[in-house]
Amino acid sequence: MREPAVSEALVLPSEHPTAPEPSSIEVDDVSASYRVRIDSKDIVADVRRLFSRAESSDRLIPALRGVSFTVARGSVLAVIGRNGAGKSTLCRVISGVLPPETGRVVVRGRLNLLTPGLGFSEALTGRENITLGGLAGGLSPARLSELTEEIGEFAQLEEYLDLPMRSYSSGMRMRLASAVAVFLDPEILLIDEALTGGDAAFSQHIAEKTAQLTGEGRTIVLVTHGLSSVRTMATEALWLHQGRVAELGDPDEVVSKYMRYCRIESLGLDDQ
Amino acid sequence: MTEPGAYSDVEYVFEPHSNAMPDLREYLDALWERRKFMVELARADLRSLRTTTSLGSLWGVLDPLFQAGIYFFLYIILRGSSGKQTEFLPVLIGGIFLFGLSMAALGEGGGSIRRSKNLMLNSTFPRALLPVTSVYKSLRKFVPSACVFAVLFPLVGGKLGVGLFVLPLLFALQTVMSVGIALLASTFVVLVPDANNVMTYVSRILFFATPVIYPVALLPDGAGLLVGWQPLFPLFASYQAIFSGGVPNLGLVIQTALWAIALLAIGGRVFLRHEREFTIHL
Repeated sequence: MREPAVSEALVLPSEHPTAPEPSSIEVDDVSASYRVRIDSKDIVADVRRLFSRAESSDRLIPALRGVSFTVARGSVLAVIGRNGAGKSTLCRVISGVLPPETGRVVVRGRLNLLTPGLGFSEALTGRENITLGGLAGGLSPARLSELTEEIGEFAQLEEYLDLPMRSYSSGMRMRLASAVAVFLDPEILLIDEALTGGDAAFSQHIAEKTAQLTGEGRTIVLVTHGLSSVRTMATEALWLHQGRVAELGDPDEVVSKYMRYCRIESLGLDDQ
Repeated sequence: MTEPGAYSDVEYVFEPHSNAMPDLREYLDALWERRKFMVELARADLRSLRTTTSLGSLWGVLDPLFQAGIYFFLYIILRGSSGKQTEFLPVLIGGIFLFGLSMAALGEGGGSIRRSKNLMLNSTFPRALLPVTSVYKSLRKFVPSACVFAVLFPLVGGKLGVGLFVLPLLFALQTVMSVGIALLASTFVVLVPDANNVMTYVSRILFFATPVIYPVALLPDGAGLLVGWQPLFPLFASYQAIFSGGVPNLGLVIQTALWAIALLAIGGRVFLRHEREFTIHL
């Protein structure tokens, strides 16, 4: 299989290149790695590391390498790529969860990360989890009590809100997590493969909400395997391959190149 | 709520981790802003405890009572039964209840970051919130135990004197100490993979080096030097004095206060210097 051409340090074309408005996200030459401990036997060095800057002998697994791009305010950037390409890591670096190894990320605006792994509690009811998720996202208790019913309705879970979360299916959990995230009044919303968690009706529902947020000038970064979503929702697309930017630009062009690379067209596996 | 199209002035800059200390004031402000989240998180954990066992939170009361019974039985056997030995029973029960709080800081506080891997990898908040929440949770769990102890204490022959007035101060110092221990232990557990094994021995050593299951007066000459070096010794020696109807020695109270401040300062510094790299290790 032919490797995609790797282009680095690209800057997304803004819809209004002359406008003085600052971009929402600037990712500048970012590299990030995960540290994996492989059969560590040197506990003395581990203890010493607690109190000094000495480096340990852990193995670093690179997840992102020299990634640069800019996301204009009000745009929807879709991030695509195969499993292990670094898409979720990119979301974590942009949201400040994972520190970059090199480079710099600037985020202008209140940001929320919507991800399948959101830390909801199994023992609490849906209603209580809305409270927990909302408080984690920075909503005030007063605002939360106003929004709880609306969030439940948006998640299409009104009848299940008082049942414990452990009785929910994975799709129901994802719907609740998605609903909480979009109601946090984000200025920048990072959606990490969340759209693939719900059924078709809910995916449509959240696509409409995303369109509404975009209409209100919000910025969205959407990590997805759903290539039809990229074509319908995104204003720009970024293809990550082995931690590097493979393509960046018009969604149709990027998706076409990605599909050609994956040979999806010939296999007929497109999600449309 | 932001008007459509308008953006707040919030700007985040994320750069490579440098082990630098964050601005302490800003950090504490951010922690304070999330206090409601901390309460809900503790509530969720306590709810989970209640729904995974039949007796639920009753275990928080039963466990120290069973332990006190076992250790008192051993104490009677080892020391021989006499009326005088039963005077130690209220001191023993009080000590075991309170020692559980410090051990929760070490065990639950130590595991608080690793246990919350999902939350850590998917949300941004001041990470110290997790060990602090574990201490808050253990305090909430302690409330029913304290009520049971208050009822039990006079029934098993406990006497209180003016030393009772020092009890709130000692309890506050123990809480500060617990936060320091939880911060330090959680950093250790994330960065050192063998830490869980080490913690088992640390808690065992602390249990025997702390005057909980034996009266301080029973320590032979010189033994104080052997066990008096650790932070829990002056604290629990002071508790013993109060539960025996006396007043704790001022020197012991000052030592407890110094240990509490030192543990909070060291635990806080080590935690804040390393918290940004936690996600790399999880």
